[in-house]
Amino acid sequence: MPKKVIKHIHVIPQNDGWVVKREDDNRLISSHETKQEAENAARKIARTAKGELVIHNRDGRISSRDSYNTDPLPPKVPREVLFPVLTSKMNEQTIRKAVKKVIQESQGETSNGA
Amino acid sequence: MSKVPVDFNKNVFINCPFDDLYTHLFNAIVFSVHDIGFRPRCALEASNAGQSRLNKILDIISECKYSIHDLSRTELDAKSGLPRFNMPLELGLDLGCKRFGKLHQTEKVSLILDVERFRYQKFISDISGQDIYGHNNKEKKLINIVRDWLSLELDPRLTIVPGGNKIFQRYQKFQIALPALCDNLNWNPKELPFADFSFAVATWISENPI
Repeated sequence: MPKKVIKHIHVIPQNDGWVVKREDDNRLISSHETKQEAENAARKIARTAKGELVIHNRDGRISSRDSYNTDPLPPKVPREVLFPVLTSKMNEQTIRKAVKKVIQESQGETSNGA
Repeated sequence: MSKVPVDFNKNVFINCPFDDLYTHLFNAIVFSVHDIGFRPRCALEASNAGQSRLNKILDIISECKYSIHDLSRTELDAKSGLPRFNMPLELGLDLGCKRFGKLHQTEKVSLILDVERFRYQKFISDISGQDIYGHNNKEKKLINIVRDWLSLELDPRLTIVPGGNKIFQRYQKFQIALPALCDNLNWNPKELPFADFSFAVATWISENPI
């Protein structure tokens, strides 16, 4: 079954006001003078889209979230591991091999010691 | 509308001392950032020929939503008798980028670290109001601070994030493996090549899932 994409609607500070933005394409939906006005507008959109409302503080941190997603218990997934971009593919292969070798050796030591 | 850099929301700029005494804390930050699911970036990344160090740092700052600034080195340098200003300078550049940057850069979030939590009041009091924590030069405390700070950005209903103590245990296991890894790759443990080291950490974490 294809994975359902949840729409995230963000309320974020901008200059002296607040804006409502869509996460997937970073589109600015509306601008408001107060946080409450922005929140009301964003909530309406999140409810219609059955998405998620994400409200930020002035300092950029997330202050609260509200979900209008119909799936109340989506499966939890482990966080993704992100790799840096290396200039050399050879380095990537060499490092992968070395890490795997060290892990295998330590597992071998553990099982021999047991 | 300004174009948002790839993985802007997942990049973490690390602004910290790069001396021998700090290496164990730097490695702990790199490990915990990877283990929470973000990507560490710093001035030690391979430079483009002809690009000045400052321009490189500015590029990295502009590509990272998150930043960790460690102001531990405020003392006078033993050899020169002068203080080091690089970390406060880069903190200022980052705060300026948030204030004057493009729309997505106004969402930047910073964590400021020092040895003691309130010592900054004596040398850089203008930063009060930011998230400032003291790590006491302890890896475990530092990992817990970074974990708790970054995990706020992940939805706990959707993502499994290891706790601070779990990350510390995993980091200890990685540290045990690190000398053999350095031997295999001919790395000097005191001068690890940042991008390659970061890649090795990510590989180790992938091979040792939580």
